[in-house]
This record gives sequence, C-alpha cells and structure tokens, in this order.
Amino acid sequence: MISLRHFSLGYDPHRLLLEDVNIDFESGKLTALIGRNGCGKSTLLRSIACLTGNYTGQILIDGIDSRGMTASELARYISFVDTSRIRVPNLKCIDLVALGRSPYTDWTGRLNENDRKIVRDALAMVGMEAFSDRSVDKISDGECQRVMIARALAQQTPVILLDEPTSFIDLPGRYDLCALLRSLTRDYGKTIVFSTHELDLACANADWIVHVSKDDNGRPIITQLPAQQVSAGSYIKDDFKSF
Amino acid sequence: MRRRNISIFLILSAFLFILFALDLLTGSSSISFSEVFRAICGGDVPASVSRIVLGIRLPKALSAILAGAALSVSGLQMQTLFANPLAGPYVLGINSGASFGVAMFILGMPLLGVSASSGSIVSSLGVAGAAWIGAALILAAVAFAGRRVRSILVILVLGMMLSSAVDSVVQILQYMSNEQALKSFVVWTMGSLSDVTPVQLCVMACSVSAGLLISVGRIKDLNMWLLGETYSRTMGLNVIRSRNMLFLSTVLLAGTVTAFCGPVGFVGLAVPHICRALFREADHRVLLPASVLTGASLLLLCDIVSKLWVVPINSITALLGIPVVVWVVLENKTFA
Repeated sequence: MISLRHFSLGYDPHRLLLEDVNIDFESGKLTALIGRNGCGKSTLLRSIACLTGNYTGQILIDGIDSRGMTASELARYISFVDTSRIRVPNLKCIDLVALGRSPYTDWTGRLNENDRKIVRDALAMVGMEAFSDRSVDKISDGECQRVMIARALAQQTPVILLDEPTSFIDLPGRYDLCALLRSLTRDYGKTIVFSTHELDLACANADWIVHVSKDDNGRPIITQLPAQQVSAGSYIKDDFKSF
Repeated sequence: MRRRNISIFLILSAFLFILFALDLLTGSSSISFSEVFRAICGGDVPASVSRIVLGIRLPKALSAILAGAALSVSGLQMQTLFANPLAGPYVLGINSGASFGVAMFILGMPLLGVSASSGSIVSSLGVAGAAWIGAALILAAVAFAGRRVRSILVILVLGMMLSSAVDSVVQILQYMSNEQALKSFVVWTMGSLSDVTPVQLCVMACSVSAGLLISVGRIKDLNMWLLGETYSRTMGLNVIRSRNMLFLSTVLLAGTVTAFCGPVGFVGLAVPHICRALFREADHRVLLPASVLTGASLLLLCDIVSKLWVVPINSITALLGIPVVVWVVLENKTFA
C-alpha cells in the first residue's frame, strides 16, 4: 500500500499543484488518476516513483518513508512506465523486457531460466510475444508502449505506476490493457495507479478514481471516489463539467 | 551467445592478429618476416633489427592497439550515456579538453620558467595528468549542463562551444610561446603513435586497463542506460554513481590516449557504429568487446597506412571515420 501524508507538490510555493494530500492507494486495487493537463498527475506519479524529490510531506510504502530507500530497494517494489518512446536501434523487444529483470540479476545482467520464463510471460500478457525478436526502433508507438509495460511486468513489483499508458494504443488495445491491469490487481494483488484522460475507460475498470482539480479560489483539491459512484453520474455532472 | 556473434568475434580476432603482424612488418627499413619473428621471440638477430622491432615497431603497434580500444570504448560509452549516435570523445570536447591540459603543460610551463625534461617519468606523468585534468574539466562541464538541460542538441552545441573556447585559449598560449615549445606542441597535435616511450606505454597500459575494467564492471548499467535516466532509476540504478564512474572511465581512456598519442579523431565516434552494423546488437556485453577488437584493428590499419604513405595518423583516421559518420547521419534522419 502506498500512502501519502501531508503531501504537497509544486515548483512554486505560492502556486502548489497539490496541497496537504492524505490518500492511500490500496493493495490489490486499480486506481485511475484523472485531471486536466498540467494539474500534476505525472508529477505525482514521478514523486511516488522517487524520480523527483520536489515535494514536502511523506510517501509511505507499506509504512516506510520512501525517501530513506535506495534505488535498488525501490526497484523491487515499484515499477514505472511513462510515455517516452524508446527507439534504440538493434534492441530486440525481448531484450528490452529482459532489462526489467535488472533488480534481480548479477553485475553482468545474466538471466537464468526462471528470469527468461518471466520475460516471455510478460510479453505474452501484453500480447506481444510475436514481436519478441523485432527491433524496438521498427515497431509502432503503441506496440512500443506495450513492450514498455511488459518490461514493468517483468520487474515483478507489487506496485506498478503508469503515466498515460493508453495514449498511443488503439481503441481495442486500450480496453485490453485496462482489463489486463484490472486482472493483475485481482490475480496477483498488485497495486496499480495509472493516469488517463479517458473517463469512461477509467470508470469501467478502476476501483478508485482520484480526481485532481481546483476549487473556485484556484486552490488544488484532490478527490478519491469509488469508480461506480463516478459512473453513476451525479459526480460527473457537478465536477466534471470542465472536461 | 549466438553462433553468428561468435564467428564474427573469431574473424575480428584473426583480423587483429594479422594486422598486428603486418604492422610489425611495415616500416621504412625492410625487415623480413622471419627476422621480425625471431626478434620478438628473442632469437638470434642483428642488434639493429632487434632495436627497430622491439624498440620502435612493437611499442608503436601496442600503443595503436591500446589507443584504438580505448577511444572506441569511450565513444561507445558516451553514445549510450548521452543517447546520441554522434556523441564521442571528439564531439563532446573531451579531446579538446585534453589538448588544453597538454598545452598548459608543454606551453604554459616554459612561460612560467619551469622546464620539464622530456622523456622523464615526471614529464610523461605530467602530460598524462594534464590531459586527464583537462578532459575531466570539459566532461564535468558538459555533465553539469546535462543535469539541467535535457536536450541532446544543447549538450552537443555546448560541447562544441566549450572546445572552441578552449581551443582559442590554446591559440593564445601558442602565440605567446617560444619556438621550441610551440613545435613540440604542434607535433603533438598531429597525433603520433611513434613518440610513445616504454615508460609512457606502461602508464597508458595501466590507465587504459583501469578504464576498461571500470567499463566492464558497469556493463549492466550501460545496457540499462539505453532506456534513459528515468527507466534506469526505476529499475534500480544509482544513476549518479553510475554516470560518474562512466565519466571517470572515459577520462582514463580518452584522456590518456590523447595525452600520449595526440588528438586522434573519429575512431571513438565511428567504431561503435561499425560494431552495431556488424553484430546488429544493442547489448554492451557484445558491443564492448567488439569495440575493443574493431578499434584496435582499425588503428593498426591506420598506422600501417600512415607508415606506407608517411602521413600523420590523424588525417588517416579522419578520412576513414568521416564516411561512417555521414552514413550514421543519413541512416538516422529522425534522431534528436
């Protein structure tokens, strides 16, 4: 479980993106992070992944402050996928996914039989097993996105953070991906948080919706609601009119 | 390892060996193969032959191997670290930095009234140390900028501007220097494998080995760096330590070679691309040894060519390297 305590985020202390947030991302639940461009969704995810220390307050990972953890400890707990596209010539999809095993391999990065099986399974889960020998610079953006997600799966962490994972993926692929994320929370008890702009997709699959917005005075507010309640309609009418 | 890779490795090793032998055979005085062989093995040969083979040709061939391997590996590291196919010690100004250090040492010392006798251990270590410091300074400046600016283009431009700035300081030093110091510096800038003394060869072998060892120890990091800083960090890499170690390795490799052999351009830039094209791999566990073998072979080849036509090795490496760079630019029209 990931807990934020008195968490404030912002580049400018007078214009915070998030202010005094106290929320929990429960284990075994799928949480969708929604909000307008620039509201701080990505920065929040990057803070939880310890990619930026530009916040005050605490991020507790199973009760332990993440600031005290080393990169290698974190890598066994949290995996992260963003929208950057990896275009390395000659790098095969399967070798890219295999890099997800880095926290567990020795200094040469050699894979054992178990690691190889995990890598193959991860590629199969995102439906990319047929691409394992293709070079990542010769596949489409959506395919690349799926391979990057497979890499996070190969990392076998209890927490997976995804920043707009659906952005390059086609419509059927989006539904498949959200279904996959949901089944990972159900079957493996993983904690998954993803940001998205697609409310219908989020409502249909997520357990919780975390909505980042601003009140009438321009102060940031963050709301955590069960997905059913959001899709029931009343909340959308009131607070999502800006969408 | 795949069978195809093993056969390429065997072919490259054979190439290296043949070129090494050819390099020992070529030179201004003609010495037969059997005499060279006997001189190497400590057999019975005239003293002049033994002096030429063991005193001149062998150190030169060995420094070609060391320099080729070192420059290629440093280029490979920089290309991966900066995620830029055109990065290399030369482009990022590391060579300029090393030149600056050496200029300060060769030209600046006489200006201050201190003269180091050339050839002594102090002066060889001094040249190397000056080159290391110069290279490290430039690399630190580029790395510092790289922390704040993410754009590859900005870093490249910065590297170019820094080397231009440093070059003009070197010019001022040249303008103020006396004839003798100026000549020894100008000769150094032309790049030469033949001025490496046995003491220098030992210093070079030690620091190149140290640089290569660091690089091999960071081989998993290099593969992780392919995915960029964000992913490397979330996959458990201590990016700052890793980057510093790779910079240290680059300074040891490129800085040392530049110190003793002068600025040898384009090898570090071109060889990693030749290896990628040969092996069709991105894995550094293949590319690193491949760069060592290819770089060593390429510089031996350049040395043979430069001996046959009696031209500075610098111009040969440029003529061989530039087509590769042009090819990379045309292949990667979409990078940056």
